[in-house]
Parts: sequence; structure tokens; C-alpha cells
Amino acid sequence: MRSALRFRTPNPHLGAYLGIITSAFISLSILLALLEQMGWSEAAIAPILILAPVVLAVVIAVRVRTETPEDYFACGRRVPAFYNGVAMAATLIGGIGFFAYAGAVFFLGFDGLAIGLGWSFGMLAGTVLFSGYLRKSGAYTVPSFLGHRFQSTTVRLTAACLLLVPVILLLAAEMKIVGVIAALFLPIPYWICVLVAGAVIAAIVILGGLRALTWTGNAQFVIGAVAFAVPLVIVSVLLTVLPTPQLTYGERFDPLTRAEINAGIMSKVPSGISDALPGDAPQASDKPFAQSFGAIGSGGFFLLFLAVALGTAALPSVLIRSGATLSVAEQRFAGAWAVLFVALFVISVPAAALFAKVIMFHGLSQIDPNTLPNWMNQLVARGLLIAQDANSSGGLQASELLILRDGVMVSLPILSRLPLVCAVIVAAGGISVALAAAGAHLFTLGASLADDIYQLADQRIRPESRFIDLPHHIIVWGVMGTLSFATALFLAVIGDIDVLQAALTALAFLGATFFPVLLLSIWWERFTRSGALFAMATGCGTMVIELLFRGALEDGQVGTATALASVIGALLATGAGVAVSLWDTPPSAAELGYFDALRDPDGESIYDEAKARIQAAAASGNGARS
Amino acid sequence: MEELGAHARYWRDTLILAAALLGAILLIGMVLIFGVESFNQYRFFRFPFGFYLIAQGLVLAIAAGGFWYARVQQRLDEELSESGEF
Repeated sequence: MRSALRFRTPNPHLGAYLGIITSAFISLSILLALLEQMGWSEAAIAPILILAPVVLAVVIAVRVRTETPEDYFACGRRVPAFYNGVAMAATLIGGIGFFAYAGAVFFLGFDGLAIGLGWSFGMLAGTVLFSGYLRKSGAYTVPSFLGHRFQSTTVRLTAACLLLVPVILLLAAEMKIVGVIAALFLPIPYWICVLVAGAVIAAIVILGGLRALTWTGNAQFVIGAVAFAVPLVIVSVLLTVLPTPQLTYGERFDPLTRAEINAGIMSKVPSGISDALPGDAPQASDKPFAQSFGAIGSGGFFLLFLAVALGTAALPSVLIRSGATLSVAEQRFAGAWAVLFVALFVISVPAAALFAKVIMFHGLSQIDPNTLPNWMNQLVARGLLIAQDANSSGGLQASELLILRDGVMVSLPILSRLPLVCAVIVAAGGISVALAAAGAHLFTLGASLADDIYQLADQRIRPESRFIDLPHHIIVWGVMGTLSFATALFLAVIGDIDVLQAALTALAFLGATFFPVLLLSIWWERFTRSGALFAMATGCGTMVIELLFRGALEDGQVGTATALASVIGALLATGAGVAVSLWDTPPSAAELGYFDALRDPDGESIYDEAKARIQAAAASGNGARS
Repeated sequence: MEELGAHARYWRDTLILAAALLGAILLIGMVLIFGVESFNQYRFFRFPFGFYLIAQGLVLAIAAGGFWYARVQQRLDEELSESGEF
């Protein structure tokens, strides 16, 4: 007998709330722009504009705080597809996309697009291959899904442990970017910014779990989208008359090529198999924007695209949102929305990068190095740019202009001589999106520690606690959250990581370790638990070998070699999984039953049905006893 | 060939849909990536055409593919549900 879908109503005013938040942010920006014209200084404007979205997020989190496990881990399974898609896109793009990816496209031009393409395709692949089935499973975390699929705590614990490494890397990267960008505009040192960011995301996650993340993530993504679009549209109008940068930046290609030739940027030849991505120290731009495969060869481009796509498809922080929608079909639409938002972001980034480059290099050789123009002085004062006439030629060359990769998006409004408030808007929006992504990664870590590791241990002691009950676990959860948060803090404050490289390493690791095991467990019924264990071990092992050899082989830089290792790891892991499964005894009836239930698109999620069954049995058992 | 049950048919169509969509995009992606230099000889709205296809054309195709997939798969789900099997 199948249970009917429970009736769940989403809040009908969600759209209005998002509209109010958007207009409030725009009004605040306009107000501060006016105040700037009336003489307010940056010291007054920047804190208001950057802290307002943060305070808003905390207020939302307090409003939607929850203690029921279903709300906490699955947002009550009632998020409409559109809003879940927004939150998924915010998790994927994050501060890495907003600042570091834009900077990478600025330096690499065409070659940097592999990452954005990989994100879009990976999001689609995750939707098609995993998302709907995970929704049907209803497990709160990816390791929990694997554990139920194979009826094995070993698989679940292994997956949970392997998941920690890449997700901590992503969390640390997002937190670092918050600190770096906030420290540019606020009179606070970097380490305090990181600590505050950590406290904010910990508060959001502990208060309301996935529910708080969904609604703060929506607000933060909308603010980020406005902040990304407004300066870009203004610059587009200034440069190309039309307010549609994605359609009109084409006409700036020829002026850019001329400016680049005048600034001394010559076409480049890729160095070979281990082409690296731009690092986070200020560096000179040395590749023409439109040239294809100048910094990364065509094979490397494809590998990078593939590795990012595999990692994105298996990204646990995105997949953890699979349980949050009303139904399986709804979850597929949520994925489609997420792909659309990611795609809109990805097609806008090259416009921003190209505009920044066109303005920066136009007439560069006529600039007197001793009397820099005002915009350049502003960038230099903030550490976004280093300009020095190294060869004493009396003019500036592209090679004498060292640009901060993660500061390119913030530099664009300053370059374009827009009021300073525009740069602060970009920073505020980027910080918002980065906090949304960091929160999602922290939640993924915490949920895995609580539901997969602690819950299993607890079940050993108290067999009746098969399903996590939050009031009992909240203290443990807090400890776990703090632990992972402290790790990130350590990485962000003491350890120095390059955010783009950390994110790509994490994606490469996820692609090699989790993509094959998820693919086979959902799409192949003969896949067994030893197969799953071997697949994960092979993928992880390949990446560990790559990480160990990276320092020796390619100067510690992440690039196409990492991508190659990830793709090879994924292939080896798939092969190992298939071979071991075929050699192993066939899966048990319980595993096959779970596999078949995944395929039924109707009805309640498997997790909820099992929980309801057990609760009903317990209730009737109690009734018989009394 | 024997008649497939509703669920087997559903599962076969689901597999074909997923493989066709992802395979097609991957194939188009490969053609565009490895052929970008020959496309770049042409101009499209003053973009180098190869650049445009990678930066926007393929990305928008992926986004459209997502919605197309969600809709077609939903129709398959509904057919299965109406068949009453399972």
C-alpha cells in the first residue's frame, strides 16, 4: 500500500519577500550613493552597505529557526523548485565564482571559460543523474544515502570521512574570500572579518539548518545578483550604449585587441600538460583576451571542463538540497532553475572581465608612471593594483601592471570612474553570496558529522534511536559545527590557501571520489557494497597520489594536471567499482528493493516512509504494553 | 520481441533520455571546444563566433536542456503513474 503525499504548503508570500529584499537593497544603495555625493566618506558608507545584508541574513535565520529534524535537515520538504534552484546556484557560485572566477577570466580570457562551462554542465548532470533519485531516497546527507542504498554502515562512514576533506577546503575558500574582500573596504583586519564571517554562518546554520540556509541563501543570492548586475549594466551603457552587456560586449573585442597590442600583450603558447591557473598574488596580464588556448591547451581546456563538471555534479553541498522540494519532479525543476541561474552568471562574467580589461588597458602606454590617473591611484591605494615603470621607459606596459585576481570585480566600478559606492555594492553582494555558499558547506559538514558519524555511534548504544532527533542532538551538533568551523578558521587565518585552487582541488577530489560511486549506485543494480568501497578508495587514492606528487612536479600549482588526475581517478574508480561488483556476490534483496524503490517517482521519500512505519510500530507496541 | 511492462518501458526511456541529453551536450561541447579556432573565423554580432558559442551558446543550451529534461521526465513519470504498475 502506498501512502498519499502529505499536504505541505509553501509560504505564498515568498516572492513578495524576495521583492522587498531586492528593492530594499537597491534603495539603500541609491540612498548611500546620494549621501556619498553629499560628502559622506567611505568609512561611513562601506560598513552600512556591507553589514546590512549580513544582519538581514541573521534576522531571517532567527525568524525561521527550527528544531524539528525534517525542517532542520530537509527544510520541511516543501521548498518550491524556483527557490531551491536559487539556493543551489548560490552554493555553487559562491564567492569563488563572484570574485575568483571573474578574475580568472580576466587573466585567461577565453581559456578561463572552461570552469564556468564545467559548472553549468555539472549542475545539469547532477540534476539528471542524481538529484531526483536522492529526493526519492530522502536521506539527509549523501553518505546517508549511500549507507541506505548498500545497507552498510561501513560505506556510510567511509563516505562521510572522505567527504570532509573537500568540503572543508570549499568552506575555507569561501570564508577566506569573505575576509579578503571585507578587509578591502572595512577598517577591520582580515582575521577579524574571517572570524565574524565564521560566527555568522555558524549562527545561521545552528539556528535553522537547511531551512535557514534556504531562505538566507535566497536573500543573499538576490542581493548578489543585483550587486553583480548594477555596475555591469552601468558600465555597459557607458561603453556600448545598450544595458545588455551579454549581448553587446562583442563590439568591444576589436578595441580590446588594439589596446592589448599597444600595451604589449602578445599571443601566448600553452606550456604543455600542466598549465596552471592564475594565482592570488598580484600579477601581470599576459594573454590576449580573445585568443583561444593561449594559457591552457585545447586538451587541458576539455579536461578542466570535464573535471569541474564531474565535481560539481557530485558536490554534496548542492546534493544535500535534493531532499528539500515537494516531489521528485519538483526537484528536477529545481535543478533546471539552478542550471539557469548558474548559466546566467556564467554568460555575464566574460562581459565584466572584458570591460575591466578594455578600460584598464586603453591608452595605457600614454600614462605617465609618475602621475598616475585618479582611478589608478585609488586601485593602488587599496592594493588591487601595483603599477611601476620597471623598465623606466616613461610609459606603462601591461607587464608593469600587477593586478589582484580576486579584486577584478571590485576594480571594475573604480576603473569606470563610477562613484565609490558602486564598488562597495559589488563587495557587499559578493560577500553575501560567499556567506550563502560557506553556510551551505558548513551545514554539509555538520549534517554529515551529526547524521552519519554521531548518529551511527549513538545507534550502537541506543538501538531505538534509528532516526536523528534534534533536541537530543543539538549540543553534539553544536560541538561538531564548532569543530569544523575551527578547522576552517585555522585554514583561513593561519594556513594560506589560494581560493580558486582550493575550490578546484576540492571539485577534482569530489569528481574522482563521489561521482563514480553515486553514478553506479543509482544507475546500476548489480553494484555491491564492496564495489562502492573500492570505487571510493580508488578515486580518493588517485587524488591523494596527485596531491603528493603535485608539489614535486608542477610547483604546487593547480591546473590541468589536477583535472587530468581527477578524470583518470573517476575512470579508474568506475572500473574498480564495476570489476569488484561483478566479482563480488550479487546484492541482497534489501539492496535491490531499495534500488527499485528509488526508481518509483511517486509517493513519499523512502526515508520518511521508513520513519513513519517505525514510529507507527513503536506506537502500537507501546499501546499493547500499557 | 516481447512486450515490455510499463515499468521496464519507463526505465528504458529514462535511461535513453538521460544518456541522450548528457551525451549530446558533451558531444557538442567537444566539437565546439576542439573546433573553436575554425569557428572564430566568423563573426556573430561582432563576437568571434567560436568564443560566442563557448561563452554563451553552449551555456544557454545547457540551461534549456535542463528544463527540457525536467519536462520530458515528468511526462514519463505521469505515464507510469497512469499505468498503475508498481
